[in-house]
Amino acid sequence: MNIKKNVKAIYIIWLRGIKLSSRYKVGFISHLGQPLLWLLLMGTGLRGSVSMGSMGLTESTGIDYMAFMLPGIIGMSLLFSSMMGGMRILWDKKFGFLKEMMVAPISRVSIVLGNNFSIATISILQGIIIILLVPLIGVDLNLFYIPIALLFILMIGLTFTSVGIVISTQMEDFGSFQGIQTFLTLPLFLLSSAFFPVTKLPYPIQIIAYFNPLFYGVDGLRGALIGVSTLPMWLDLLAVTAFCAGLILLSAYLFNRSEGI
Amino acid sequence: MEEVDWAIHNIIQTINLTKKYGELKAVDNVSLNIRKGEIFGLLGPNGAGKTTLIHMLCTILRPTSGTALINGFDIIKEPNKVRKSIGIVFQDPSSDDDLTAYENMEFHAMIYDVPVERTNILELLRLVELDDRADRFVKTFSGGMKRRLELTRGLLHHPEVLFLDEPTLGLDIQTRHKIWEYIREIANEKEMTIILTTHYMEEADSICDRIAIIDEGKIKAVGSPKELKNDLNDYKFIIKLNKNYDYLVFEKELERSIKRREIGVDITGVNITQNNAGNGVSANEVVLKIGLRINNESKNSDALLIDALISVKDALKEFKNFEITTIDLHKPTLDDVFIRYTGKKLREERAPPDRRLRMVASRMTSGVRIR
Repeated sequence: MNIKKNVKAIYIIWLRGIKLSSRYKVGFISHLGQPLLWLLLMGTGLRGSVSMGSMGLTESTGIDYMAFMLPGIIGMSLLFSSMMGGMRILWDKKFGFLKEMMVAPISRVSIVLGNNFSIATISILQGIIIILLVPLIGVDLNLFYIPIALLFILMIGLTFTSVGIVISTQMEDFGSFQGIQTFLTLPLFLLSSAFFPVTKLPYPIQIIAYFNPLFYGVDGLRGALIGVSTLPMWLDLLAVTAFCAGLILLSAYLFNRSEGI
Repeated sequence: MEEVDWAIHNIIQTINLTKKYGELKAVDNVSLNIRKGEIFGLLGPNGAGKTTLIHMLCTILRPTSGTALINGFDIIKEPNKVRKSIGIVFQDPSSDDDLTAYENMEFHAMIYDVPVERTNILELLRLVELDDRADRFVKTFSGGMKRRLELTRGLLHHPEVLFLDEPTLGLDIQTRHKIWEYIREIANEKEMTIILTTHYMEEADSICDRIAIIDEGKIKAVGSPKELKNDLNDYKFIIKLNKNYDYLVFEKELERSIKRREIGVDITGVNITQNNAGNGVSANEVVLKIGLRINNESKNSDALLIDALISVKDALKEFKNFEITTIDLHKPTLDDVFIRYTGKKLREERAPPDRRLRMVASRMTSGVRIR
């Protein structure tokens, strides 16, 4: 009974989030456009200039740089939009709607999860659209593994929405939120193997990369989409799932504890 | 004579409720009983702890110590049952700007598990004259419209207790009247218990069955507005006299003459001001103020005051050339009660700067908004 109630509450909060997002089509399209530009401009530019040998891949795999970059760009798109999405909690706090949810007869956890799922849904939708556009830029995908790729996309989306929510619970204003977000996203992105394998980094920095959930996400996504990965895919999935679960719990815990209304 | 069990009649019971922020006690050991069906006012200067108290009762804030029972449920142990029993209109807007009025209502109905049809919601919106704007985004609403929307939203799930935190703050007089009208109607029709805070004393006086005055986190006084005013026992005759006589010379004599008479009330002070034109006093008038305290509780206070006034008039007659232009009786107001218990004048306080404005400013500086 209690679980049923919570699931319903999560659904209601999720539905509200989807409604809001559907009203921000401009935001949706601009978030979609950014990764596509990266792919088209950076990808085509580097396609001819980077030898795959230097990426630790033999030319015989038939994978060019554009294909290598694709999972990284999807990861980047998920990273940015999910983390920004986590700002909704702060937004609701500032504009008062959070109070309406806090006095409603629903659990705090369902508020966090409902928001998380709706933001992640939109991020995942963007990831899927990018995958759908991929044949247009001449990259062959491993169709058989698409469901696994979607699983990785789901994990990355939920993970970084949770990070955004964690920051939201700790910040009081939008400026600080964006400061922290900018401070975090760049290293997360650069240490994710989006542009180059982390094995090309000096050993101490490589160690840091192994604490980066996006690394496992992108590596796994690469494995699923183009069949190349640094770690075995199951290990990537295990790691990213663990990060995801941990961060969802942390966001729920911090939200439950926070009283800054 | 059977004994009344107040525990049954008290829909809200706070027990040593305390909230500390570091060393600061925002709410300090408050034990308060609120009866079923009454309109209860919380009055206090800004920062007195009214909103903190309400937020604890609404289960948004956790008390540092103590607890409260609402509708029989403990705010700490059974928050969800408490939440089902209460409705609340916050001081600041708490509706979603990016949803329509209808969608805000729909969200509320869903989250409180109240089955409603579109017609039900439209009917509720009609109560607050917003039915024609049901499908407009709330961001296009004025402050008063938002407050009305939130008022009707707070009633959607038929709560036992309705909290109204400054329901009329920052609204124009017309809107304020309308809101009080709704509140009165609700209280009469639904027999709901209403707890409100307000800055407007006359409004509290006319609408509240009982009032608690709260300052520095403590309850200073509780009672009906009438009780509180009577307890103050501080009346004043304000007599305006024409100015063809040097009253100041006779001030002491006049005081003695008044005090000599058995007027059934205590004179607390006699004061004459001259040459004080303005404030409704013309240049050829002087103002005689006589402070009074009723010392005979068995008699009707109005009768005593009339007797006293006749005595004062007789005392004045001993002096030549007196001509009384007006006589006013100043009875204690809730303002006086408030000043007595808090040492502060409520009217000196201003509503905080419009929060919406600050938000718009932060929206402009925060840049993009992604949802």
